[in-house]
Amino acid sequence: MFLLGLMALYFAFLAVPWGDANWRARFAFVNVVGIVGFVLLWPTFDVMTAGRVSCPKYIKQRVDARLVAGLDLRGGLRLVYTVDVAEAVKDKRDSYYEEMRRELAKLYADHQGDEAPSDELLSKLRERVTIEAPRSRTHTILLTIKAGQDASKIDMRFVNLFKPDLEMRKLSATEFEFSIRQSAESSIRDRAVAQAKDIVLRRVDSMGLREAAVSTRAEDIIVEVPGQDEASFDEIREIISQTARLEFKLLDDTSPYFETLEQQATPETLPQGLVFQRENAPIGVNEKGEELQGAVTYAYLPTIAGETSQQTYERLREWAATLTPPEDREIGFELVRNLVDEATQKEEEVGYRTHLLRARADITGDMIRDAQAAPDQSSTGLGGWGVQLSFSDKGGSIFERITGDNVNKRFAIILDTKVESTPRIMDKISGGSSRITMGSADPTIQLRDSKKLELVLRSGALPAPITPSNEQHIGPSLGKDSIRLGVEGAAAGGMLVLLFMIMYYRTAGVIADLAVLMNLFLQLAVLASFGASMTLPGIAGLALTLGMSVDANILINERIREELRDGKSARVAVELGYSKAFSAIVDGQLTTLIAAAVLAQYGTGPIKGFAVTLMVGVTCSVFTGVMVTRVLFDIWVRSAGKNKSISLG
Amino acid sequence: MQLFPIGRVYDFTSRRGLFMGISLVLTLGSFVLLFFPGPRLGTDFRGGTEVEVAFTERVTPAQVEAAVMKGDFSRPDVIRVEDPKNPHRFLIRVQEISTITDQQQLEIEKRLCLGEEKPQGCEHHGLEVKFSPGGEKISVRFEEPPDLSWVRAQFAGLSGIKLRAGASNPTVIDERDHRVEIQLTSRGDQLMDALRAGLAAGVVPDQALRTEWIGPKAGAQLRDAAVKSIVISLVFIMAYVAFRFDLRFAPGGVLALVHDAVVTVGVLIVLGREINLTTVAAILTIIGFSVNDTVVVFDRVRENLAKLRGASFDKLINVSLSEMLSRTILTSSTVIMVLLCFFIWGTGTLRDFALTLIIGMVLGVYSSIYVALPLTEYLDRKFFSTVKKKAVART
Repeated sequence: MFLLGLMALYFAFLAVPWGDANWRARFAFVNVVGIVGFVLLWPTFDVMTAGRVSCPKYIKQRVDARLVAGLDLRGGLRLVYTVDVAEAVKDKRDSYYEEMRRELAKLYADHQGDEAPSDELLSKLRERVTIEAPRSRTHTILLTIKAGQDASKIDMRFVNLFKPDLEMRKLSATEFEFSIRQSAESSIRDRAVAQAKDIVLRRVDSMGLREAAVSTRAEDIIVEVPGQDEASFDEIREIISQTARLEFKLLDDTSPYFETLEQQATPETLPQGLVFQRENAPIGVNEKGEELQGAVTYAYLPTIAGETSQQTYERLREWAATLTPPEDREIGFELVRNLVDEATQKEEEVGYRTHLLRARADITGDMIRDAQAAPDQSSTGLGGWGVQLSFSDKGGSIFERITGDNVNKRFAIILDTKVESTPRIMDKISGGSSRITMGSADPTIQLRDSKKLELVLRSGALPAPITPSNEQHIGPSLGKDSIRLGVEGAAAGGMLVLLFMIMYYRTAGVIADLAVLMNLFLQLAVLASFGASMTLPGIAGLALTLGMSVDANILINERIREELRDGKSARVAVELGYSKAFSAIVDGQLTTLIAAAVLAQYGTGPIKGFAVTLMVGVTCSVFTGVMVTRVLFDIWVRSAGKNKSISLG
Repeated sequence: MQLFPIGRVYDFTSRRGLFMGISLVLTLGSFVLLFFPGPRLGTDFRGGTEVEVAFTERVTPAQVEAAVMKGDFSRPDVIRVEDPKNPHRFLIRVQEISTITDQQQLEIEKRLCLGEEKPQGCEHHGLEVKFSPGGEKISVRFEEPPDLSWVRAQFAGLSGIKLRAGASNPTVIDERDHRVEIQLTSRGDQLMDALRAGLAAGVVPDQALRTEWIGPKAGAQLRDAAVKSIVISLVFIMAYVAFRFDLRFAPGGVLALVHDAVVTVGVLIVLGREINLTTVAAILTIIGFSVNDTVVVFDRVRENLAKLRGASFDKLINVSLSEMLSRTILTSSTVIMVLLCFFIWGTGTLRDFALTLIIGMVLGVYSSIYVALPLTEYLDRKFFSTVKKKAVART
């Protein structure tokens, strides 16, 4: 549609009853580019002049190109996050722990194959070997071979299984300490920070905040958002700090754990307001394939007056941390909501409840290929929303196996340690996709939550949690006066160049100046369509490219002068001047482009801004310096008449 | 208007020896300067602590320097920052950054009762201690809710480590994990203290305008990346010239660029300017501009090759250079005009950037006239003399 309009415009200009076909083609092209440039800049002008150059709504809504002032010009928010790299190290250690336990099960408990050993085998293993992953030392695994067992099985072959990352220390004949090597640890740390930066950047980008800059310093991630919009700052804070760790864990609804707890607990040991409740839960199928139901007890902690639901969650968690769940089980927490209004599905958060989960996550976020917010087909017609997940091949086959083995049981979808939902497995699910239903029943909240979940799942989980460590609202880093001076310097430099060209080349100088102004205009339009932010170095780059962009015209004009001197007619001289100068122009600008591209790769922040402006400037200046001036030159030569001469000063 | 008489051919090549000699001396001299005394690297590259302070009354840089050095710091850079709102604004930069040595870390871990053996007097057991890379924060996870005054007491008498004053230090940042954060006085705080001690009362404000630190590791990484990016752009440009013209044009052109970049840095060292990220940006821009000049002349040589059949390479170069002389001077002067405006009006970084570029642009014009072409001719004669004049132009 848009392209069609442009083509129509192009042909309209092509039809002007003046000049030869070549000229008309150029004229039409220049005009179309100019109009596109204007449309791209229109909304920015509107904003900059506070509505005096008003831009029609139609264009404002469709053109999202905006040129915004950078952090150094208008200030903004600077957020510093610290990556909890110790957590990344611990994760790595934990995955080695799993692996080592499997290998030990092979050596001491007759385990076979690469699957995780079963519960039975593990308890058999526990009688023979203790393997420990201490919480206080996040990079070590301790191994103790119990009396009567053959400790010589922990030999070089075993150590070599974990060779590149782990090193072994023999504490005694039966005790071994495996720890992550210093070099491996520092590479885990570096990688965690780099990955976290990438993911934060992706999240910020997908929120449409192109002007935000993300950089790292040691173990800190620095996010700089220009502007003063508190609402968008809040959104950024929320989206960035979500770890987005997604896990699927099976529920254990047959364990009498909470029931026993209820009988044993005295009110003093329980958090204020905690009650035990019972619900009916699906607990699998019997041999005949009939679905079974069972009563299961859980703890429920309602939010007390003057408390946020987050505080309730923390209270419940604190209490749960004092409990000792059965082996290989853990406690999960889910937000409980109450329907307030039947008709609008409005609801309120009333508290948190527990679930007893299997400790091992069957499916984790890295097995997800894609996530997409989608309306709920099976919903009651109220326009519910959920997130459609598609698994990777590995994730899909695991999901198929798990659902096949656990028909009519519940599993928990856990996001950042909170249980989002606990759907019942109705049948074996193959095809590698699943769906997360949002906990809330209010469709607008569902939509909002699913969009957010989609965003964080797509941008990937953070390799380690990040915690905000510093936050600063910063004013413009340069005083108003130095900005004014910088802009004045740029303006003065630009004016000097324009004046100089007129003095030196007269009419041809005016033509070159018009081209330079169009160049400036186009550069701004291109930068706006990148959503670039205008920083002071950026303005410097702009002025500098003005100085350079006359280069093409100097080359051409000098050439035309030479041709005129050789006695060529005005028309031929212009023709030859342009064609002969072209290769020099392209060579010269391309080499500048190479240097600018390297600069853009290397630089961060303001330097990158400068490099991008330089690249855009160089590209635009070839267009304006060659194409635009040519159109004007031809008008001039034609109006000068057939036999009259032209003078280039 | 016409800068140079038309048709006049200047002789650039006859005094080739002299100019190449000068350039050689300049380049070698700059190389020597690079190592002795070596460039004054900015905080970007060297790492260090940087504080900007707006003093309430007039102080001289010498007073500031003396006060800082009395506070056990290395010789600081004291730079007056022009700011109409704060007339006494200074940028003070020292090499020291806050780091906690491994030994100190071990000592702290011991005092917080980390690890297996539990010494006497341990009321709480730390599970994990984390030191912030800036050396201004320590966070500790405890097994049980800790007594903050006990934590505070553990830091008493540790040399070189001081807790920042304030009632909420240390503070519990995570109830569930019993995580405690201890704020230490950073180098920035110490610097401010030194200023307060060394200058008249009431001159030093409570807060610095800005405190910034860069670790030495990050600085070294940036420095390596800077060198790498300059080398990469040289390689790319060389490849482009070789592809567009002829392999034998490339060494002359690139050596001219190396000359420009190295001598610019040399001049900056002589002027006592500091080398930072902005300088690297300026040098890369210079490389881009300078090769532009050289390439445009190469282009003319290629064209004249066909026109002036049988002429010596010497003459070819002189004719081409003379023909392009007005263009070279004109283009460079327009750019230099803009840069001069920035130099005159601009402040701070922008001004330094303009200065570096002006030096580089002037050198670029000189080198494309007196270095690139004569060198190309010299190399041509020396190494390609058998195929001389033939096949210079391929495209």
